[in-house]
Amino acid sequence: MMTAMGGQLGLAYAFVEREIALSKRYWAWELVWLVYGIVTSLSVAYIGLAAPAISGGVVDPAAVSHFVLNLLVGTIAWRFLGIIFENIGEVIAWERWEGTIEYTFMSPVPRFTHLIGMCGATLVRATAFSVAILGAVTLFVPVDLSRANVLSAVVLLLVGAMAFVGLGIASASFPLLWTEKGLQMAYIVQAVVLLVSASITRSMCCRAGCRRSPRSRPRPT
Amino acid sequence: MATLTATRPEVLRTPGRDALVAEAVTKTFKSSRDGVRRAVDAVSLRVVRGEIYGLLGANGSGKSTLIRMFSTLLTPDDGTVRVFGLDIRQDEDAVKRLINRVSVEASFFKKLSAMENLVYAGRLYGVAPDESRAKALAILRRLGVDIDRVNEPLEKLSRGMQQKVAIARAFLTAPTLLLLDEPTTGLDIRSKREVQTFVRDLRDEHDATIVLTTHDLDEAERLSDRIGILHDGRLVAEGTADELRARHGASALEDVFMSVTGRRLDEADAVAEDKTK
Repeated sequence: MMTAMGGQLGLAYAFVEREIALSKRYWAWELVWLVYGIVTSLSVAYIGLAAPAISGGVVDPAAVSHFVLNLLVGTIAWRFLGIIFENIGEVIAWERWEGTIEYTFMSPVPRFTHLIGMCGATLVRATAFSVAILGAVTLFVPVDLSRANVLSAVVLLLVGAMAFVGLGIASASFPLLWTEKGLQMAYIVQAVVLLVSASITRSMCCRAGCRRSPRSRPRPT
Repeated sequence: MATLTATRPEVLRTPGRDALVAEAVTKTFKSSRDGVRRAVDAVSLRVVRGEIYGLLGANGSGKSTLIRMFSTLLTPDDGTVRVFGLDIRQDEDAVKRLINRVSVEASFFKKLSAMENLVYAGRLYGVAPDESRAKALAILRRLGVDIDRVNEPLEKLSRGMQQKVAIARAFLTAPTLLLLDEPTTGLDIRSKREVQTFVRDLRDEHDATIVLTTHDLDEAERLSDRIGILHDGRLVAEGTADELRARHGASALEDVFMSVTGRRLDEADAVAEDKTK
């Protein structure tokens, strides 16, 4: 049993090693996506820092700092989950483009092991990107992580990652069902998930705001 | 070629002469343009252990579809395929461990080097990286590949070199049944000869059975112990080159092909190309 599991892990590692080798060869593109991620997070953070000026009111600097931190967490978490969705969603499309899909399917690697390997590779890439973006952003924007609950953050990201792996797997099958438009459909799914998560965040923040400020509750009619 | 030896699975230790048995295998495809097309039509064939079996046919005759079914990539609509007694549907995982394939396109991660691709391919079959590297170098040397270039991205290698790396990938896992789908298409004459010599050596020195598809009559005759001719998805003739010539009163394999299909091989290829336009 243990030997069999070790064997499957060895097979799964083939995909991790392959993806790392591909990242090295495509280093220029990786740099592009990294800069894109850093710039996106920084842009949002600067907009957050300008909130007092935009709103025209006097806002407590601590509240602005908290607001910016929330925005950064949001953009970096979304980048983390976005990478997972994109990589898993492109598992089939990428290998089709390279022309290697038949060799992967012909090899004695169970589909589940293939997916585990790709999930492992994706988690490595998403984590490396997220840490790099956070590190780069802290060079430009003051971020106070002294009270950060790292364990909770990791657990939340892992739970989110599992959900996005599921969505990614479902989307990965689109190119098999619709050869021409499958990948485009996968990206639409990702955009819809972003919209849904944004609207959920909005309603959660509103509820939290309502609890904190009784005066902002709607008046009874 | 001692470096290519591997421990044989249990199924190969049992007596039996049949490496591949296909019985009434049929595959149809549906498309909006052509409607229902029967790519393989009730093909039955038997390849004995250690044999090189050549499947000769024009483009679109069903060769690649048949090879894809033998390699578990496609499921037959009808009929059965057994590899060393194992059913490709019921024992798919076990069959996959016994086979490997070279297709007409050398399909690789083109940014990765030949060695990175080969080590990755070896890992998929449970071959340790060090063992893969040693085997890969031995095979590539025999195929006449410049060893100094094995760490360059594959996209920088010529089509012939890429195809040789594809052949090395298939041999790396020491397959007991090797499916070669037009392996020398696009190679120059020297490379073609090197590959053909290597294929024969592999069969002579190891316990390998080879199914080779080609539309090169010379290659079919030079390499194959027996030849099957596919036409419109059907196996229309089968035998050794001498048997086929004698049966059809022909002096050349080209005449046999014309006799059983009604067309010369190049004409049949041209007709197939017109159909795809």
